[in-house]
Amino acid sequence: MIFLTHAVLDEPTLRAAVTHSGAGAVLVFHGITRDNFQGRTVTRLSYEAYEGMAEAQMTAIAREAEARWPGVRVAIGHRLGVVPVEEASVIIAVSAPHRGDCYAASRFAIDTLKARVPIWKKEHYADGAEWKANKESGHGVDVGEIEER
Amino acid sequence: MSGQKDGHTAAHLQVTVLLFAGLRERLGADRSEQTVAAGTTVADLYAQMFPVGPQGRLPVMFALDQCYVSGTTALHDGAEVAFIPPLGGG
Repeated sequence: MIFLTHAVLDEPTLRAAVTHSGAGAVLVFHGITRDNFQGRTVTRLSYEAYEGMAEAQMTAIAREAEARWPGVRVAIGHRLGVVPVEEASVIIAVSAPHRGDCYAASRFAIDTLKARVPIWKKEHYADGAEWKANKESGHGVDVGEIEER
Repeated sequence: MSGQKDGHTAAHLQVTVLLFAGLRERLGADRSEQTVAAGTTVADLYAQMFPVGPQGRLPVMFALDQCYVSGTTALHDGAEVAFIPPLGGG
């Protein structure tokens, strides 16, 4: 299950998408919006995406994790538009036969999403607004595999 | 592909550029139809559309038909191009 939505992300749906009788571990990562950045108070956050490509990249990340850690299943939902503080902008649910692979695949999925998935975040402050870049964003560094066309 | 129609050489290509985040705000549009010379690369087109200003040029990644490519990739007629500003998802 891979999707973008303007609605509130529903954790039980994402968790159910990866839970099955052969899984021994399930991790659900929530990336949530924070009310401050380097001392400035954030009043509002909004996200926009290159939607077709973002979904394709999220799907590729899930498939890469599932290939690298056998038995792993990955589901990812990312929210767009205004996301109020403390609500989830992204939820990644991962199941695995054992916890070690579950932690590794969960970490891989969020780190790779931040580096590769074309989604942008705007932070609005009392005195302005800024597009905020992830430190993982692949600019000026090797983005990993450049896909064959 | 329409570049070869009527037997003419495809000296010029029509491409659609999608703009996001700060680049969208700078141009005041979320897409732009561009006509470029054959042989133009995605990085060439970025330099043409976003000349270096006083603050330099935003470092971007390049996407062609929804896949990441290097800046040296040549455009083709009908291409969907996107300049990908620094990412903020997650």
